[in-house]
Amino acid sequence: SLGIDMNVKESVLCIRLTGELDHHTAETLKQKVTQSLEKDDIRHIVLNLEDLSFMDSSGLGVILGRYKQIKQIGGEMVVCAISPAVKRLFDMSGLFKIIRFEQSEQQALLTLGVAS
Amino acid sequence: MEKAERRVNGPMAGQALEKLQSFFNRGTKLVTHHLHSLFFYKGFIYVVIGFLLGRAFILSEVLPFALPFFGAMLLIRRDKAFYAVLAVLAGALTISPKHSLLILAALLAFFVFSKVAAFITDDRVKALPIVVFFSMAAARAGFVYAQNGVFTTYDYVMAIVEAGLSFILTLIFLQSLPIFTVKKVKQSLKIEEIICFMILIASVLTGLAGLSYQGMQAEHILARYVVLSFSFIGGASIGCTVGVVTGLILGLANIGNLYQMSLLAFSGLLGGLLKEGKKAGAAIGLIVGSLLISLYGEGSAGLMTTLYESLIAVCLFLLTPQSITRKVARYIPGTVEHLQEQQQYARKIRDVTAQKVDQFSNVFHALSESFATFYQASDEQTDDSEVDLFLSKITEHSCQTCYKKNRCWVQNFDKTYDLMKQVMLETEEKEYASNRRLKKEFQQYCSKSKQVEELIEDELAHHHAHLTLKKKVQDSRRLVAEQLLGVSEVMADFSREIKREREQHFLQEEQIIEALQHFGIEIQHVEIYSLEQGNIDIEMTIPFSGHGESEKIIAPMLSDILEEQILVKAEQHSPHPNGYSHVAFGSTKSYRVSTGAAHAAKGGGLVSGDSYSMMELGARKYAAAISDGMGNGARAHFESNETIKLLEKILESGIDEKIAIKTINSILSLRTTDEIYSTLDLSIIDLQDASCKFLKVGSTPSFIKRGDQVMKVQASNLPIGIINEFDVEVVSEQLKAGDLLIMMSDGIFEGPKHVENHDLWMKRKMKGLKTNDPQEIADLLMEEVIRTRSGQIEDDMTVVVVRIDHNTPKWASIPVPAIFQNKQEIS
Repeated sequence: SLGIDMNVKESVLCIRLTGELDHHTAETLKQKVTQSLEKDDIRHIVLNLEDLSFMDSSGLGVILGRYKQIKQIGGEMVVCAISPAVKRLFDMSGLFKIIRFEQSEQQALLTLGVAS
Repeated sequence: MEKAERRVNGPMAGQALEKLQSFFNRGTKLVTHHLHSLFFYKGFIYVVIGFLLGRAFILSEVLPFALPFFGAMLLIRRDKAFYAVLAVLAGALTISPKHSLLILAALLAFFVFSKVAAFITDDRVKALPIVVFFSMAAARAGFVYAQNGVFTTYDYVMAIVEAGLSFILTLIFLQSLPIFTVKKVKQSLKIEEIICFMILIASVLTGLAGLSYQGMQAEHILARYVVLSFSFIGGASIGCTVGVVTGLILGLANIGNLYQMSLLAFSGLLGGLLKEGKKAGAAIGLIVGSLLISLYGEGSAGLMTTLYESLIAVCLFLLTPQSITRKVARYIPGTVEHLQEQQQYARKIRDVTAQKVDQFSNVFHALSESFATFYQASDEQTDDSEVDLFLSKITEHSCQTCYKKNRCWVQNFDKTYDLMKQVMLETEEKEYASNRRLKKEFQQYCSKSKQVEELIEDELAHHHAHLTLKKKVQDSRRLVAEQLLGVSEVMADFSREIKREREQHFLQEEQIIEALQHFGIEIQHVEIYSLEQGNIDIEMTIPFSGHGESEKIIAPMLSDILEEQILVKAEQHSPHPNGYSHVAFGSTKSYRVSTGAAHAAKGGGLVSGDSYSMMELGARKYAAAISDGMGNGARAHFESNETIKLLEKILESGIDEKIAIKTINSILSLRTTDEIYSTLDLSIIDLQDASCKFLKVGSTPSFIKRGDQVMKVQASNLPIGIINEFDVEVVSEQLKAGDLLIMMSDGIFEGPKHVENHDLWMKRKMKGLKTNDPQEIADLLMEEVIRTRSGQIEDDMTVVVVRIDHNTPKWASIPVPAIFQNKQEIS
């Protein structure tokens, strides 16, 4: 029930999620992202959560874990286009204290110095 | 008032008087000091005692004192035993040479027998009385045989009586002599020890027998003096005991003195009863007692002599400085001085304990500081040296073996260094690959550019790994430092609490008695232990009437006087109908909480990923917490349970809640590298002023229901256990009586299906609640959520409801006339 679409633009990994991110799908997402981080020369992550309708605590855990990983490399995590339900969760968990929010994917990529 | 008087008196009295006084004081101090050292350290007192004991005999021929004294001295003060022997023999010589001969014989026998005893047992203390018994019996038997050449039954009996008395006296002297010798006297004497001591003194007094002046006998005067002093110090019971013991021994010494026993005992009793009248009272007791007994027993013949003896004893007694009686009183249980001594001792112990705790606190503080400074120092490494180090590592494997080394590093050092540094920095920033200009320049400049680039990249990877490791170590070090600091603070607080002097509240006690008596209530006694706001502790003794006035009248009046709710904490009634009851009053919290909780595990399982806890923190705080472990099942349960358990332990120890949460975060994030975390929703309610602190760590909002209003409390903090950099935002709300605080896990908050706005849904449901009972509310909310899912439990759910109310006592406070309000003194 979770669609994961990933593409790499230079040093930025762009992840688009659709559907529901819960504890069934969290593990898959974690593996895929970790793989990509190791394989490609990734510095930043852009998360597009426009079509993500649901996220639970395990999802939050995966995102926090990735944040930690990317922070160690010295990169940044940016979230763009977020659905209201997920935004509320982000708000509640204080994620916006550490993860930057941008209106759109373009905007996010621009601020990371990657022209799309 | 007192102060004013003193001020008037002060200048008039003049400094000259003070000077004179201080001179005398110093003089007497010096004299007493010398006397003290002469008597106690140089052992002069043993010479005096020995001399008098050497003179002492009872039943006109039995001498049971000298040998036991010598034996006890041998054990207790061996160095002074020789002088003691000389004194004893000299004393005996003053009575008759026969006496000293007998004592000498007994001493010789004693040496023989103690040598024999040394073969049999090592325990000299146990052996001593037996050795004394045999040597005394042998000496007496030998002496009688040498004198008369024959033994009569009477001689046998006398020898055995004398030996038996010596045996007992040895035991007594072993008990009582250490009172003189031991430099640091123990806390208090037991009654047996006092009696032993009295026997010693009475024995010494019998040594005075025969000293007389115009019919007044020295031993009578001194015996009365001793009885008078002890009855004054220790009261009727001690006075009476001392009188009986002294009188008995004096009576044994001289059968004509037997009436002395009743005289002394009665005088001691009277003197003790009249001791409230200070020295004069006790003195009157002695005079009246001795007069009565003399009149009754002996007729008026010896009346004047007895009266004079008593008067001389009274004079001696009046001349005895107060300091000496006080000093003695400290060792006698039951006296005021003894009580003070005990208190002082307790205070000393407490101070020492506080100091120790303080020292520990300092140690922890120092440890924490050393950890923290180490961390800072390592942080301040200069960038330059790091770059140098880094480049030297790279050149080691490349340039050192390069044929162009001379050109690059000797002739064009600056340029090479700058270029390499730039390449390194850009590689670190991952911009080198895109910076064609620099790449080209470097390739042109360096003949082995490819190799160097690779080396730099490798080294950078190493460097990063190293940095991460270092950071981890630093983080854990910082954690240790913070925790040490926390422990240090808790200990410092603890020590401060110990040190807080138990204040004297005489004034307030008076005021309370006055106020209550004004109201017509008779109070026997008031004792105030604490007047601290919220921690009041008062005890009273009141006549017991059985109408419960302590609960209905006194407590409400105290509430008004102290401006705080006061309740009866404990009541102890006397068994007699007209006795007194003992009542303890204490402050009660201004607010009280009632709680309800409901929780369900996913799918109706048993193991829930949520944990919650409700507990009282100390006297005035109440904490409710929910932790939601990530996911469901055992792992989540473990995680959330761990969080709650840690929280409970840390909060109970008195560490500030913010530090507590930070500590938990550090502990949990150090423990695993997994993306396991838990949320924590903590509310701490102050039961005195109903303020509430919310610490929400990655948790769902809470709600406050006040009448028909529902307010949301929200704070966004990162969940516990993943991210190290962590700052807790605390939201404070003032609660009111009747408020309901509703906390929930996300299973409840996000539980309702097909609901867009959870906040609104929740608020609407809460507004619709018809009950005020916390448990019912918890159950209803959970049921509502499960209903929307048509009976399915999709996630772990927990609801905790806390209702806060005024703690209204059964009886309203009763206003007390304004003059008795003692607010100023209390605050």
